[in-house]
Amino acid sequence: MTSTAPSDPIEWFELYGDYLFAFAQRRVREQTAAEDLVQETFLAAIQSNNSYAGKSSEKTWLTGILKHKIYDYFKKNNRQSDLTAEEADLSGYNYMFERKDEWDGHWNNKYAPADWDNANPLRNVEEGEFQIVFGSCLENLPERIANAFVMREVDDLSSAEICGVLQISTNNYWTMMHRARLHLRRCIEVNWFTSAAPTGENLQNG
Amino acid sequence: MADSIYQKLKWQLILRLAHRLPSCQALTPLFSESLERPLTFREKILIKLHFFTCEACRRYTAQIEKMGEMVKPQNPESVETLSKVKLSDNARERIKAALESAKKPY
Repeated sequence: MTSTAPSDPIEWFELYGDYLFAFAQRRVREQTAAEDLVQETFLAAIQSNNSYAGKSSEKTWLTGILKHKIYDYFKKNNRQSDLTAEEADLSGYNYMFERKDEWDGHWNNKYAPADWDNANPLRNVEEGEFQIVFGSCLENLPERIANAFVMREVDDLSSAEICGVLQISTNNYWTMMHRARLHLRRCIEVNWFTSAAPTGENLQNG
Repeated sequence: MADSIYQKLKWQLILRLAHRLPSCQALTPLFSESLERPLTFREKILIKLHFFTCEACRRYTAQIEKMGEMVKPQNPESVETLSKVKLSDNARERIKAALESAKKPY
């Protein structure tokens, strides 16, 4: 066994299997589907062993293969191009803008964006615990909307690419991103930042 | 004292104007779209006017943009090391078996 080119797929699997599964699971909620995608990734890696010329790390290379498998999976599974009624429903966020005075529709002071600059994270930044918070906040969004956000902000895809993968119109994409941001901003504020509320009110889970 | 009356009137006018313009809730989709596409001149003016009286929406817009930076894994290892998500034993065996049989004998 050479140390420069570990070409044994089982060895790759032991090294990167869990990582790739976690990567897939963040994007594909159905567990067996995520497992299958990981398996397909390694099978594809075996077949195209030659194309790995050490340009990137093995892990980056494998992640790249997996990413494309995931996007293909999305394409196959997104036949309807319109937002479902459930996906388009923003009424669950009305509470942030409900006021008893004549300013109804403006931020309710209780839920208005807090000052993040003077707030400390609730958990350990160094250990990257933010990713755990982010992951659980994503889970409360409809899957396609979470996927759109991850592709946009984590994977750095263009809006045209995302619309192609999810088979949606640009307008639907904007709606998805708006809902994702409205939800995630609040969820991250409540679960990541402490003493973020300038008035010291008791923050509950949005 | 005349100064303070003038100030009061000024704020009355500003608040009255703000009241007639779209609410925060009505503008939040536009704040998100400002990160997705170039806004029209009219939209830019609308946002400028709103920001003038609304600190919450200024924050909102800055924070949804900052969020995009925050969610990018600074260190790709971090996702891996802290992730509680692991393959089940079943899946592990299944995938290993599939890889073994796919491996070409040399």
